[in-house]
Amino acid sequence: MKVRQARWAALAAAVLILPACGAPDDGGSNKASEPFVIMISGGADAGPVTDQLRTALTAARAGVATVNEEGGINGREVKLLESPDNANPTKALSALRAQIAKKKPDAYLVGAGSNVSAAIAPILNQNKILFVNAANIAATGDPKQHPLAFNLAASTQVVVEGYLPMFEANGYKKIGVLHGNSAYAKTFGKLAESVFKGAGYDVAGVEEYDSTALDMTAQISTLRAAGPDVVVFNAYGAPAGYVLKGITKLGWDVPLLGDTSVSSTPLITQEPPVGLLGSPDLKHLKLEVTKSTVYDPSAEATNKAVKAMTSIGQIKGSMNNCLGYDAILLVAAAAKSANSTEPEAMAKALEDPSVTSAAGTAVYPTYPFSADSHEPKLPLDTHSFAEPGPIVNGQLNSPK
Amino acid sequence: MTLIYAGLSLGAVYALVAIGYNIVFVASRSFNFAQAQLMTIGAFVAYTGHVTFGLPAIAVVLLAMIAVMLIASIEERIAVRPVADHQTQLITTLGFGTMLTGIAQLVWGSQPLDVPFVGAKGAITLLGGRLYTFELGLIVLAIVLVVVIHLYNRRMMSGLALVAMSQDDEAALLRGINVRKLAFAAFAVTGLLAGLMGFFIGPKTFAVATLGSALALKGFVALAIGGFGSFYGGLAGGFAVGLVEAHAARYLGSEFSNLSVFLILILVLMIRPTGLFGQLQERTV
Repeated sequence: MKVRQARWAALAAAVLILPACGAPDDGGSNKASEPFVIMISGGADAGPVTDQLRTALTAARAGVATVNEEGGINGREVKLLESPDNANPTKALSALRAQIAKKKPDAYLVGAGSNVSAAIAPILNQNKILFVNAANIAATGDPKQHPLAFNLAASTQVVVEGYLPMFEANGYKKIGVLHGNSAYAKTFGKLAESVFKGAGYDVAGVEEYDSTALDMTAQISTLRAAGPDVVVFNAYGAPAGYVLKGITKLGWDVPLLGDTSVSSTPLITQEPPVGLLGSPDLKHLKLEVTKSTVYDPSAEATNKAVKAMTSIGQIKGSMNNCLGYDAILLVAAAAKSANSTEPEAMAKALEDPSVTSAAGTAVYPTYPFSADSHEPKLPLDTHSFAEPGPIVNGQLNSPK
Repeated sequence: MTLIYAGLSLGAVYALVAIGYNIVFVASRSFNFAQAQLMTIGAFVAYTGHVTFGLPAIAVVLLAMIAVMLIASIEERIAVRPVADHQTQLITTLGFGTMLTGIAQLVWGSQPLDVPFVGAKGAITLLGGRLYTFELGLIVLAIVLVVVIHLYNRRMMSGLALVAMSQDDEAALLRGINVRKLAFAAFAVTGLLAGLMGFFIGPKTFAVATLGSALALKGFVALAIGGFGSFYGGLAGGFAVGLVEAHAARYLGSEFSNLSVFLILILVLMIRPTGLFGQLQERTV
C-alpha cells in the first residue's frame, strides 16, 4: 500500500515538475542563437486602408533588411513574421494567440489599423511582449497601462498644434473645422476645437461628416454660413475628394488646410487622370506634411530608408505610412543600448531620448519617449505645410 | 436650393440602385444584392474606357454596359439559377457582390479614381442653386429610366410578360411565357443598366471598390420606402432618402443623417407596410 502511495506521489511530483523543466519561452538571453522574431499585422486586402497596410509591410521588411545588414539585433538575425489578418482585429488576435501558444514572438508591430492595436494590446501586455505601434491608441501611449508598448505616430495633439504657426503667419482669426467620424477623426475635431480656442482663435464652426457619406454639401454649407477665414479638415480617401468638390461647387474661395490624412490620399497627390492634382478643386488647398514627406537631399537617414523600401516594394501614400521602418530600427537600437533582448530592458532603453535619436530613423529623426509617456513628444515644427504636388516614393519633390 | 440639388442628386444615385433591385424583383421575386457592386464595376469600366483606353464617350458607355451585362449574366448562371429558393439567393447574390468588390480592389486598387464626365466640368447655377452637370445628369437619368421602364412594362409584350411573371410565374408559364429566359434577360438588362448608371455615378462618387457597400443599404431603404416592385416608388424613395439625408446633415448634424433616414423608413412602413407605392396582394390561406 505504501509502495503504491509512493508511486502516486512520485507521479504527481513529476507532473508538477516536468513542465517547469521545459525551455522557458521568456524572450531572454538564452535565445542568442535564435532569430529575433517580430510579428506584424499584415495581409493584402484591408479595404480602404489596403495601401497603408501594404506600405507598412514594405517599410517593416526594409527595416528588417537594414538591421540584418548591420548584424541584426544584438547578433540575432531579425525575422519578420507576417500575420495575414488584413487589419482585421479578430483575425489578428487569433493569429497572435496561436503564435504565442506555439512560440512567443520577441516583439509585435502594427503598421495600420488602430482597431488591431486595441484588440491585441492587452494580450501583448499579458504576455510581456514589446509592442511598437504605428496605429496609435491612447492606451499604448500610457506606460502605466502598457509598460512595454510605444506609439510611433505623431499624436493628434502634435498634428493639431502644427496649424498654429500657419494661422499666425497668415493672420487667420476665425477657424472652421471639418472632420470625419472615425475614432481618430473625432479626436482630431475635439482637439482642434480646444487647442485653437486655447490659443486665442475664434472657432467659427466644427462640422462632422459620416465617412461613408457620398456628399458633403450640407456640412460645407453650414461651415460657410459661419464665415471662417480658413477651413481645417481631416479626410482620407474618397471623402477628401467629396470635400474639395463640394467647396468648388459652392464657389467658396476659402483657404483650406488638409491634415496629414489628406496628404496621404493618392487622389490628392497624384496627377490626372488618376488624381485631382492641378484641378480647380485644389486651388486653395495646402497640405500638412511631416518634414520627411518633402524630399531633402541632405536627409541621409530618410533617403536611405526610401531606397531600401523602393528596392523591395512600393511606397503608397506619404512617408507617414512608413513608420514600420523606424519601428524595427528603434527596437534594434534599444536592444543594443540595453545589451539585452529582454522586453523590459528594451522598453527602458527606448525611454532614453539619446537611444531613439541615434537609431537612424527615417520618418521622424527622433522619438522622444519618457518614463511617463510612451507617445513621442515631437516638437511643434515636426510638420510643415506644402502646396499639393505629386507624391512619388512617399515624398513631394522626389527625384524619382 | 443647392441643398435640394445635393439631396436630389444623392437620391438619384440611391434611386438607380433601387431601379436595379426592382427589375430583378419584378421578373423573379428575388433580390439581387450585388446590384450596387455591378454599378461600381460600371464606374470602374467607365474610368478604364475614358482614361486607360482614351475612348470617346459613346464607346465608353457601350463598353461599360456590355461589360457589366456580361458580369450580371454570369451572376445569374452561377449565383441565382442553381439556387432553388429566393431566400438562399439573398445570400448567393450577396456573396457574388462581395466577390465583385474584391475583384475590383485587385484590378483597380483600393484608392478612389476620378472618373471624367463628358459634359461641362464645372458647377452651374440653376434656379438660384449650385450643382455639377453630372449631378443634373444623374437626376434626369433616374427620372427618364423610370418613365421608360414603366412604359415598357405597360406597352411592350415582353414587358407585360415580365409583369405576368411577377404576379404568377406558373400561370405565365402555362400561357407560353419562357419564364427562365425572361428571368435571365432581366438580369442581363439590369447589368446593362448598371453599366450605364456606373458611367453617370462615377464622376460624383469616384470609382472606389467600397462604393457598392455604401450604396447597397441606402438603395434598399429607397426601395422599401417606395414599395417593392414599384419603379416610381423606388424613384420617390431614393429622392426622399437623399433629401432627408442632406437636410438632416445640414440642420441637425451628420450624426442625425442616417438616423433620420431610418426614422422615415420606420414611419412609412408603420403607416403603409407595403411602402408608398407598393401594392397589397391577396393570398389564399
